Amino acid sequence: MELSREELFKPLNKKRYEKAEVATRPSLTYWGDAWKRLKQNKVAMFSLAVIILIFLAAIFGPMLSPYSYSQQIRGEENLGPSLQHPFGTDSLGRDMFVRVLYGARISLSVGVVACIINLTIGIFYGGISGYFGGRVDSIMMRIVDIIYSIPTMLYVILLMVVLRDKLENLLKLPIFSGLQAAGSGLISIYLAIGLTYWVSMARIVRGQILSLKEQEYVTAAKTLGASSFRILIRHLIPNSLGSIIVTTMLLIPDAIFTESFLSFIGLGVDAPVPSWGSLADDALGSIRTHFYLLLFPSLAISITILAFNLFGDGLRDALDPRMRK
Amino acid sequence: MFGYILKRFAYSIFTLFVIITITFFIMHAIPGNVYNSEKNLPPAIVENIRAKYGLDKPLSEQYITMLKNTIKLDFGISMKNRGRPVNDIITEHFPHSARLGIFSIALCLFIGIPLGVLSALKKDKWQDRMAMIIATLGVSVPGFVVAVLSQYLLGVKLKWFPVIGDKSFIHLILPAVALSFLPISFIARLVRSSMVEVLEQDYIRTARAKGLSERVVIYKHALKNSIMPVITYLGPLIAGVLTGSFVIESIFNIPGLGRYFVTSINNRDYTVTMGVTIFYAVFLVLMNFIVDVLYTVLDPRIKLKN
Amino acid sequence: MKNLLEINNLYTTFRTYAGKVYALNNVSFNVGTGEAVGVVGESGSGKSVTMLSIMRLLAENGFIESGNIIFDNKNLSDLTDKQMQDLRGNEIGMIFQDPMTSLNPVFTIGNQLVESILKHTKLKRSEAKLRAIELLKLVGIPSPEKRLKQYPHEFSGGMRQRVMIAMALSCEPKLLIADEPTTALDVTIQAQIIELMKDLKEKLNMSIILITHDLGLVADICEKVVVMYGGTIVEQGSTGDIFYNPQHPYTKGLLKCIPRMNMGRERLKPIEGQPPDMINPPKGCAFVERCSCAMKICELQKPVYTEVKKGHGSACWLHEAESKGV
Repeated sequence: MELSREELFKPLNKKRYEKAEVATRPSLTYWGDAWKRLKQNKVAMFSLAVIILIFLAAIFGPMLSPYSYSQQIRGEENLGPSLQHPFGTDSLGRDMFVRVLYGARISLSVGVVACIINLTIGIFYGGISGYFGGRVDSIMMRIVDIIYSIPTMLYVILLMVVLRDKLENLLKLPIFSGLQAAGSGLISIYLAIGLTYWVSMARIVRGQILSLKEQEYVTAAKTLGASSFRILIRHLIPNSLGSIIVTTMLLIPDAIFTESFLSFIGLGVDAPVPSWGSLADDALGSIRTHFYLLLFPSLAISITILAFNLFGDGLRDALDPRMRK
Repeated sequence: MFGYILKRFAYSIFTLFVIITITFFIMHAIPGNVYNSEKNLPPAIVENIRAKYGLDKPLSEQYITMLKNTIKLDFGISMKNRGRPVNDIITEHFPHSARLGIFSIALCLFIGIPLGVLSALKKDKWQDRMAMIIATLGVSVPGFVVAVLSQYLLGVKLKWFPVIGDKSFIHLILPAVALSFLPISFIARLVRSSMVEVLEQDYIRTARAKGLSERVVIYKHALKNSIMPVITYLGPLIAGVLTGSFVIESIFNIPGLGRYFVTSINNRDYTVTMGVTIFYAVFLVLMNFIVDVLYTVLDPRIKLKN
Repeated sequence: MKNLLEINNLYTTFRTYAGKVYALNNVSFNVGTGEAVGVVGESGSGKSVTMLSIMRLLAENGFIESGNIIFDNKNLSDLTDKQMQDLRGNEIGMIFQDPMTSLNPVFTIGNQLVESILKHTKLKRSEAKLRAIELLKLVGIPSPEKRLKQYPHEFSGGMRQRVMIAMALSCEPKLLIADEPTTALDVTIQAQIIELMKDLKEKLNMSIILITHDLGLVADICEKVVVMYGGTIVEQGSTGDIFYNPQHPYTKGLLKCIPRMNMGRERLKPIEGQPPDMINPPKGCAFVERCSCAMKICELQKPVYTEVKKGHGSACWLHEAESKGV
């Protein structure tokens, strides 16, 4: 309907603008927002799928295989990849496919256990330091600084050497019979990695707690109502948790790498337990003739670490509201 | 500023002391002795050997002795290779590691930094995406995997490079690349994100508003600010190259200290392990100290604060 | 008075992930030689974008869609990048809002001053240094020889802004663009900076564009005022015209917002509402939501710029005869 010139200059009814201001985008919680962002990150989602796949392969793979990882089959040594042995066999006639799958168990368990130990010690230590503040905090952080400046790999190596031998004797005791299956090598790796990497976690946790405390004082000073306090809890703590989660996640590939490294130089799990690192080490001798013996463990390590790194990166982008790219 | 340097120096000495002490007690926690690999020796001989190396004295006495010796830079004699002083072992093998290490670090800086700058400048374009994909691979694929694969593919199959030893510069290429792959990737990513952040700063806008050419804006104003995080990474970088050398030297058969170190651990050669650990510790603490001073010198904001 | 700078029908947009942002819509105004023009408006009205468009310093996702900018009889869009670089810092100087972050922290003040001089003049390094010392004296920084060797963090906010001014003036520009130069500083320093600018304007017959949201500053130093809102110019005229005979409802609203010493218990009257969404800009007048005189036509068509007397006009439908009585 065309308005006449006279009509056009009549005053405007602005009711609709008032309503428009109120209607905004539905606000999500911090986690909802983060999850949405994460879902949009195709690389991270793909990596997550790969990680889940690796977990499934690790848990169910060895169960479904007709071979065990230590089973030596006479007459089937050094076979190339085939239907029966998708990854071939090694010089003792062991099926490489099940060995690599079993290696996944080792690596993933190292990642998870390292995570848990570091998280626990880190949260405890960092939490206490941050919460008490003052002198306690200074002293505790001084200690952390010193430990931080000690070359990590050096220490993990020395720890490994010590723990392995000590644990070998300890595990002979009946109480630890369940753990014997894992082997002193593996358990020492769990401990060695757990005892070294907690330091960075402690620092982060402490930092988060300190900033949380600061916010608390600010709120108290402003004497806001109880509802605002709840809002703070809903935003602050998730924010701190975000950093902690990302750090933990990115610790896993690091731990897996360290385990591979140790196994490669001969300081990891004991034979015949197949860690990817030790498989790579075993394959060195026959690299020219049987390249596949090296290829599959190497691929396994690389793909796993890559997947965790990419997913960790994606997680960090999703949880960090500043969207760093 | 000198006060700051002095403080850092004292701190370094203290750290060293802690490291040496911890190493000592860890080594002594090992129940086995050098002859784990050679079992079934008559106890009398074992006793003799223990007496010779002072292993039968009380721990505290051994500790004091060790401290004294360390200050004198006397690390004793290798247990496995009887008659060979540890110092000799170090002086013979370290130069090989040093050559490899220096070459590696040079690669890290001269490839890593430009790569990061390029990525930042071509942000989100194909050069950036390619570089970042390679960098992500770099921080994920373990050094020894790179080493073995490159040795096989480039050395054995394609015969482009020699695979054993470090006789010449060309011999060092494959090992150095394998050793540097991870740090290069890390530095590239670091420089990229640092540079991207710097380019958004107000002072870059000011530089452009002054009519300076884009080259000057980027390579003078932006670059100097972007490099700072790399300097802080130098410490871990050197440590990483050092530990990486353990594996790389083994794979490429380079007679360096790293390879010897790993062997000595497996052989429970206590004196060598102890000596080399302390040597490495001193080296790394010294490097960290130098890096600290370097950072203070380069960032004018710190000069005044302390 | 000849026009040093002419901006004609400038449209500038930004491409963002959220959509195309129409930052400037038909901006036109002129700056004469030796004239100081104040550009006022709220945050987001397009003041800074206009300046960045003049300097061609828009971010990578910013584009001048249409319109032209003539500086000293040169059409700026015809110039190459290198030619623009020759202009910047040389014939056109610019100072920015936050002095704390506008200087490079890892180079000395001397280095940053001399750099500019060396780029645009044929002076030798030693001569440039002397010029830098002169400039520091000019802007009122004591012991300039010592200060040359110091770093930005060793200067206070006010001093840093003076250094910025020194840098902008180092090559005796014809035009100085000052984007909220005193907002981050406290009032006493503010007064000094403005006095300095007035002084230099006289001495060098330099034109100034002063962007600010402080009408008091405008009254102090500017001969002409341009009022911007929602990416367009809603009113422009001489300072006297704007203050004593404001035409546009927005200008009137702004003037009402200034607290006065003799207000007593009178309440301040803010302008209700929010600035418009520049991704989906309104079809009609940008101010329609917040205007107390809004008519139906204001929503449907963009108002035409009409002059009420020579050099003073506004873009508002209230000019039309049919609006009388509203």
